Amino acid sequence: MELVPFIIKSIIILVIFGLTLLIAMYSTYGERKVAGFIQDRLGPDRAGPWGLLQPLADAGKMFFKEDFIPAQANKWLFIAGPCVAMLTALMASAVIPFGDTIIYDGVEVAVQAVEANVGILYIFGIVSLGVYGLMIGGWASNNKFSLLGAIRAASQNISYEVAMGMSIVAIIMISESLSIGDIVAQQHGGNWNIWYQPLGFIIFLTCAFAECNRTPFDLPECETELVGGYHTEYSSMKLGFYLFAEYINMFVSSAVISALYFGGYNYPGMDWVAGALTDAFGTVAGHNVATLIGTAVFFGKSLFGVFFYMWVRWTLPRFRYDQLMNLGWKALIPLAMFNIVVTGLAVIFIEPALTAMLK
Amino acid sequence: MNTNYLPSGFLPIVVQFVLALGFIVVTMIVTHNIGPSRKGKVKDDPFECGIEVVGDARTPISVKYFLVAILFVLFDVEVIFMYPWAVNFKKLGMFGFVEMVLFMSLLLAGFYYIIRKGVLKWEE
Amino acid sequence: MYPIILLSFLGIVVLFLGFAKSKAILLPATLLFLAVALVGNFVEWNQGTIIYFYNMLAVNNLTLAFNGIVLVSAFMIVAMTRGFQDDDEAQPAEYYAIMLFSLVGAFMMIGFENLIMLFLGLEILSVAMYVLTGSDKRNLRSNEAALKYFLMGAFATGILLFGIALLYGATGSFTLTGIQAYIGQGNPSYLLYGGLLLVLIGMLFKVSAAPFHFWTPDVYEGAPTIFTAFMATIVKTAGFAALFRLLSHSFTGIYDYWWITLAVITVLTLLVGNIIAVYQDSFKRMLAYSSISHAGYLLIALTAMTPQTENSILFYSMAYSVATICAFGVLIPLAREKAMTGKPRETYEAFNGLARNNPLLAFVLTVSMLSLAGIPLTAGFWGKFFVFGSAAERGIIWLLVVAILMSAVGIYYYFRVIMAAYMKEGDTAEIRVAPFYKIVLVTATIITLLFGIAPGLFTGLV
Repeated sequence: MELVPFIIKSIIILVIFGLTLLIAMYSTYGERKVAGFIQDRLGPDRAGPWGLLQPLADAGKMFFKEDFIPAQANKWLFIAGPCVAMLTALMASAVIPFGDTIIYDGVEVAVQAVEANVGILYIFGIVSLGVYGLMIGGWASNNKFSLLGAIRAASQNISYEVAMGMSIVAIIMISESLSIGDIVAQQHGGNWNIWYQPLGFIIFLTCAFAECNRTPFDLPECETELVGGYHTEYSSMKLGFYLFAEYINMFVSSAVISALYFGGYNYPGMDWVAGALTDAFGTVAGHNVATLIGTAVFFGKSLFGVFFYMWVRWTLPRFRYDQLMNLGWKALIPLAMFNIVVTGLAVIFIEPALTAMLK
Repeated sequence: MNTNYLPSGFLPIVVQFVLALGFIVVTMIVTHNIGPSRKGKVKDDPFECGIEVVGDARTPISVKYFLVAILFVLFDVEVIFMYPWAVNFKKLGMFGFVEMVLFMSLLLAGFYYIIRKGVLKWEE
Repeated sequence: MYPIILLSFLGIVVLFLGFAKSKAILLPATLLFLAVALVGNFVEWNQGTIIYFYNMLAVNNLTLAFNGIVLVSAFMIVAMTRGFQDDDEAQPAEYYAIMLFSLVGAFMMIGFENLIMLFLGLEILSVAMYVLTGSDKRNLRSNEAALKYFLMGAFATGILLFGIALLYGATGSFTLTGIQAYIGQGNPSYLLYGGLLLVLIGMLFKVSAAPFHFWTPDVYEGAPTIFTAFMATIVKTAGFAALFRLLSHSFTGIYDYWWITLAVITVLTLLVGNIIAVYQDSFKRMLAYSSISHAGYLLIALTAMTPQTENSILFYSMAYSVATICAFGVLIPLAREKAMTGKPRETYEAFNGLARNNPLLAFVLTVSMLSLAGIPLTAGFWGKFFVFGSAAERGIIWLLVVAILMSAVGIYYYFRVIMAAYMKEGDTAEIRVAPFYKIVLVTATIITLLFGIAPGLFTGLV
């Protein structure tokens, strides 16, 4: 790789990395504010104006708390658990295209850490590694609640991963590529995949909720049954990592959903905006500004996704375990297969007919 | 569409990995050293709602979880088989579609079988 | 090729028939499906060599004949499985389905044209066997046998796969013709020899040749007898068909390299199988060692690799399979009877005085033992005759001498059973055997005697 694009990519990675952490931090704040709003109370409002410094105060508290390791725990695995959870959460964003291209010094660089031809598989792989973090942590704690939580987390994650993979297959059939960059580029303007894949979207969304262990699928850490679930024994920043990883996962999965189904950085009228900007600032600067607007749109979509997670959390009650398993295996998997068949039929029969008609 | 992929194109993943790992390791070391540390026999026990700990936590668990794990391996492999097919779907056309319907009906047959066998019965 | 598709599909049908209220339909359905597959198999008879699936599978008269032996053996064994219905723990639908699926693996091994297909077939067959070995869930020996078989089998498969990888590395091809062409160029790379050795080890493990035989006695003894019969006949036939296909097609170019290795293994197998069999008290264990020794005889034919080899392997597999099915077929009702009276079940003692009240079973047993020992007027004699003949043709006299000596040793332990049945005093009551079961045993005995008297009937077929 050439040096200039490499440096630009590194800067992009750094910025995305910082933004991810920042968003995760403020998601904790946002979650409490949303909860407060939905439950008709104020939420955090003491630290700074409107409680805006609350995440910083939380982080400080986490750092200064005792880093507790139980006597019977497996020490290194106990430490490794949250680290793995955090690492996988932070790695997943590498292949997401956060924007179109930036032109610098005549070189065009995509606003994406890696333009991988196996992008979806990469995300899939990293996300399924995430369950190791929970499993290792829960097992190493040597606590019955933790172990039960970890096993629940593992079986829930793997159950929903199957349906998730199948719902993506339908998207790939339409776009003929595994690269998320390509998939997003094909959804130019308002030509989003959600219009073609409503069922696939619902399946994917449900699975994303389950994969993030979010309500209504938060059985691994349901406090009424399992105290804290897999992180019962954790304290200090290790606990912080688990919570943080959950919020990062929320953000990343929202980003994936918006990239796969809501056109990523594409928005209706983007060509007009790009044209106007190019007229106003010249080719290079106009293009770059248009890209930045696209990136902002992308973040907007993703943040709405995060908000949606919170909205659901404070609206729906938790599933029972058998309901969770039945939904995953007996409803989502057959539905996903049905979706694939319908998509195939549509691509083979309806698409040529429509194309012929429009000509 | 970009069709030119080089191994070096994946270099930024290494950058991201180093960044993430560095962040985690530094945080872990800092938080371990600046917090207090007090030991005590009762305090170091695993938490069981204030009741004395009985036995080890690594007890046998319901076999259903293992069955789910095995089913996952089976089904996830089938899903991965679909990916290359899906990428080439439009080129394969009707032939590919029929083949995949056949494949999926076999998959569904297996699916029906495990349901009838009661592997996914969690109510009892 | 048809039986592969037919049985893959019909196996699933059997699996679903298991959901029916009455389990009684399973046995006739499975037998019907096997008959259908048998018919489907011979549709392609006498059509020359047909290549299927982009050079993955080949079908010719030889593979069809091997398929036929496997199918007929399976038919007989399945016909003997009536006991499943009485057992609450048993899962008959699954057993039958797994047996049908394992046959698919056997067909792939028999007709492979690509080494990947060999591996796939071997795995389908082996995994099915691991499951069937452990199917007696409450029996610790069965569990132990399954685990042993699985661990060692997985290891052997790994070796085989490594060998295939080396062969691919040397030749750049997975196909038999590709490897043949590479060897034809002369001066093959060392990777080829290493790869061939590893593939041979993997395959010889599956046919339980010494020194890769250690799993055999325990697995044969631990597995339910009916599946032991399945293992001893079908796995062995398919394994030797695959070995023959591998060595005869592509590696004849380097015959001078591998024949001596194979000859040493043959001698070892003969010695181990026959001499240890002498010291066994358990009939089932003796049959396990006897199956090792028969692997040795079959290996002689492979070592010689003359134009007659394919015929002799085919005939020997047939004779051995039929006789073995008879032997296990007598053991099953006898052991069941003995278990009810709480006497030793599978030892030689169990056979004491069998002939007095059960002349038919004793006669079937006698013919099968004679055939296994290679006494004239049984199919086993001609099997040995053809095998020894090919060794004589190649001029490997020392191998021939060892083999003849060892078949003399074999006569001792096979006759011990006959002696027990006819000469010794015993109190075996009359054993009730289902008529269908009797038909199978009698048919197998007739086949053994018929081809023993007129071997030309069989050798003329192919």
